Amino acid sequence: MRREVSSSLRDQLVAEIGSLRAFAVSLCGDKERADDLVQETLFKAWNHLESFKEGTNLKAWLFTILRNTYFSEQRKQRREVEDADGAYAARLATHPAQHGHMEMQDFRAALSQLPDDQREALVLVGAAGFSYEEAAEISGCAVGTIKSRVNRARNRLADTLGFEEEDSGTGGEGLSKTA
Amino acid sequence: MLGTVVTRDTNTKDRRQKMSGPASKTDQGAPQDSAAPEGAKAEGGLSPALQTHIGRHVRAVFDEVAQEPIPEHLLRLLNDLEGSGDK
Repeated sequence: MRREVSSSLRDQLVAEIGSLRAFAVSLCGDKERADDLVQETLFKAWNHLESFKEGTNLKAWLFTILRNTYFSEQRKQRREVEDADGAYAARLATHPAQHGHMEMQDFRAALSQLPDDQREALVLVGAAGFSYEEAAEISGCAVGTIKSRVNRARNRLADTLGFEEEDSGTGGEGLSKTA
Repeated sequence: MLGTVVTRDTNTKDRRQKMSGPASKTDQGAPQDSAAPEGAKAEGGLSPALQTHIGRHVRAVFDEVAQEPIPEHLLRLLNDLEGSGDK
């Protein structure tokens, strides 16, 4: 009975897969693992559709499931493997983008070096199109915390990439200094 | 110029350590704005132009993946789930 999902809801799920994959890649830095995360998210979402109220924010609900799945796996792993953060950078380094400008590669690397919570906040607000309030709900923290994380993320990226107020078009020089 | 980058980097680390106090307090439901404006000031808030510049990059990285074709196995999963529901 509860499985009688309107086809429009299924279509809405399909419509969010692209964003979910992009969010998952930004969290874990690994496309294969990102697809596993998306798969698990869709599976969980489908099996808990009764807890979702149609007409409310499906995208935010899916993002919440995905990030909670990721961070709980991350906590489990961290108990086993101490250096999960280092592994992220290493994976990223072994999967350089086949395309894209040098500047984008530098930026991607700098983004990957941000603390998880700052990167998440920046991506939710700056790329996935959520408001600060929605991002706070997704991450389970206060709105002020999200704002402060986004600020810190931007400042750190500017520092890392050597973005100056006058010549914000150049970058990359500061990259080697932070690692 | 190089020296400037290094100095600013060190400052950032110091600031981040200081920030962790108030930031975690807001997690427990303190007034939401207590961390944000202060944080923005302490970080020396970036100009709108620089924020826009960074925003464009973040979106480009995100959209690059978001606009890829959806992997077949994810679509198959939804079809399978839909099928398995017809009890």
